[in-house]
Amino acid sequence: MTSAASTASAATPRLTFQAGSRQHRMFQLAGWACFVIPMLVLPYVLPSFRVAQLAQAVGWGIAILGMNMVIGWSGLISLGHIAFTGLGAYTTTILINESRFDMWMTLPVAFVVCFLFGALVGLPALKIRGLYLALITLALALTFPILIKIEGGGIARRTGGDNGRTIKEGLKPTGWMRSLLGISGKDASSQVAIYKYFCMLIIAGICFLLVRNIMKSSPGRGMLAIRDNQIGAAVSGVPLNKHKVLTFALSAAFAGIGGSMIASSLGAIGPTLVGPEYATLTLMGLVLCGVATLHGCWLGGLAVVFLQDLAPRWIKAVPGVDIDPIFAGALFGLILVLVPFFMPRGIVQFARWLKARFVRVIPQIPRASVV
Amino acid sequence: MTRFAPHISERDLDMASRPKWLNGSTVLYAAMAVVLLILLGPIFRGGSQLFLQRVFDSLNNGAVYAVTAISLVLIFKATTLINFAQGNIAMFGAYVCYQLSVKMGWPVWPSIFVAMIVMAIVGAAIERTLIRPFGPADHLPVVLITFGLASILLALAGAIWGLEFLAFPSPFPAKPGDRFTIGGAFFRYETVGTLLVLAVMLVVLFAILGRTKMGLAFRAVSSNVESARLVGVHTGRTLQFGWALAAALSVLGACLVAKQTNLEPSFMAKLTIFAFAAAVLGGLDSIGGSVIGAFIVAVVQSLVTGYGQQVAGFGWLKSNFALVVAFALILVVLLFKPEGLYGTKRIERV
Repeated sequence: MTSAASTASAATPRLTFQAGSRQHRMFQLAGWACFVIPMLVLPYVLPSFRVAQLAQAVGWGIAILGMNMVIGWSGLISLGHIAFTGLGAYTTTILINESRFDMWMTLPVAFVVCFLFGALVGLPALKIRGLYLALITLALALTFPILIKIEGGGIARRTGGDNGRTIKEGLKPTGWMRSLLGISGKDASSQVAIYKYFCMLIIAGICFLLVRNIMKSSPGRGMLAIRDNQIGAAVSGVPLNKHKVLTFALSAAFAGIGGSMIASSLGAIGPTLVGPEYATLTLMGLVLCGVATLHGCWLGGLAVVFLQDLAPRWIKAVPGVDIDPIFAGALFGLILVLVPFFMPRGIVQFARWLKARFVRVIPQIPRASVV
Repeated sequence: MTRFAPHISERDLDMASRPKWLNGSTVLYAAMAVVLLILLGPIFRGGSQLFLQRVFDSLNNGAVYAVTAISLVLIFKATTLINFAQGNIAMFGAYVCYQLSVKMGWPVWPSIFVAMIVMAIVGAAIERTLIRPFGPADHLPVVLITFGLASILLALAGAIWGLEFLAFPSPFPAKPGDRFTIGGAFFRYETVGTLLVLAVMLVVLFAILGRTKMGLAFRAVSSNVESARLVGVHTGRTLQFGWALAAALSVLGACLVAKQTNLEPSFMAKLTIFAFAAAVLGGLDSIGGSVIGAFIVAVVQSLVTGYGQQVAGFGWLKSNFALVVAFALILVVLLFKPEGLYGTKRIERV
């Protein structure tokens, strides 16, 4: 924020607002509308498979939000959160298929399961720092797809092994919901897609608010303190061990909720979705759209789903290049390499910097407090 | 991460009244003993010949893990960074070697050598352009960059050479009869060759590090970057040399193993995890330690996958479970003895 403020004063912004004034509030409202209106209108405009992709993107967004809690806000480098996403996804799938749970009821279970496993994996984070943690979590990401295929203890039977599993009883809109969403006139597949999309949006909204509040609470501020200066945080009375494990567990829980959302919006889950390719993809989504920013997760989810879909077509469209589209992986790698050079804090920070060049908000003078 | 007063061991500073025998090494050895104890039944039932065979088979893997682990250690020693792209740099080098030897008809050894030099240049270029701009304390960008490089190299190799398995020429005599027998178990010439290459490589490496000016500079930088810079060592160029050396060594490792696994863009992925496990076990900043770690990892892997299925209740164990063993090994070592068996202990404040 400080860098944004300094560039704002250096350049000559075209718009100046007094913080808290009516114009400022209108400006903020307009900014929100730019995001919220497309979010609500797009599912009615796009074809149903795109709406389904949007719903998955929201799920991946929450998975990325979970990763961001660890990588962005607490500065612990975890490459293995895809394993927690997978854990959440499989928990939801198995509970719906085998225990006849409702999809909504599986969310708290997935949250608790992933929280506990996160705490378990987070314990090493107390002793292991920096790149060692990256190493161990990378190994976790590589072993998770193997672990779910183990044939002992009925694991492979429940997870479906290599083939994965489809969810038998997915989300379906009931009568009054159809009329509430205004989708009664549409065909069945787009009804389901739109309904799923709005369900995902609601879950994501709740997760988003929860994370925002956590980040503003005492543990959240403790996390930031630990990231910025561990010794200083310890001296100031931040309980390091408690906060580190808590952060890791919470982030795993949110990554797990993201997994549940992905499974239920996709209607299926398989080992490739929780394998190392997606570890790279989610990492790319995270760093491209904004490390340590709350709003980056939405864009990150979109990047994970749509870049994967569109990049092969873009590669094909380049004239004179004859490469098999499956090598779009090079593009994701290229993004990972280039972002630290040109946009170290991702698109969201870049957008903030851009905004600061044109808009200046004069902060309110704090009122003198009565002692 | 601060290093200070290396002559003071952690035990001197440890305020907790923990018994002296209960330290990281004990836990580590106990864990290995438990694994061996579980496997003891099937080992006895299998007889000595089968056991010897399993151990001999693992030596080849051990040597390859050792070469790859050393390439990781070289970079970690100098920069305290872990290069997640190392496996794929090696994979790409193996493809370069394939191009030279199979497609262009060169003899095997010269093409391995040229591939090593090509990838050494690539490694040096990567260090100069992508790694040097970031400070060594800033971990996240380097993780992202090496992670991204790994997937770029993977896609590039697939785009150039295709995704199917390719037969790789063997650098050693590898006909079915090329072996001799010890205690009824076969010892293949390939294994002898791989072990010899490892030995020669270690001699050359220690000669470079111990007898040349560049090696001296490298040791100075890995001991203390600031002091090295103060006495006039060109640290950037030295680190570049380290990256080049590491890339060349990892290519050698990949070329040694490519005959057995066949060439495929992701053929180094698993092997790199085992090499990581070996390096962590031996100590991420100890070359000799990582060689020992590599052989321990290889033997444990061979025994667990070879005998594990016969242990009651473990009938579902498959060979890909070895990766889980490697993961567990990394976890146990980092938890109980983060510096590994022979690494330098780092004391951290807080």
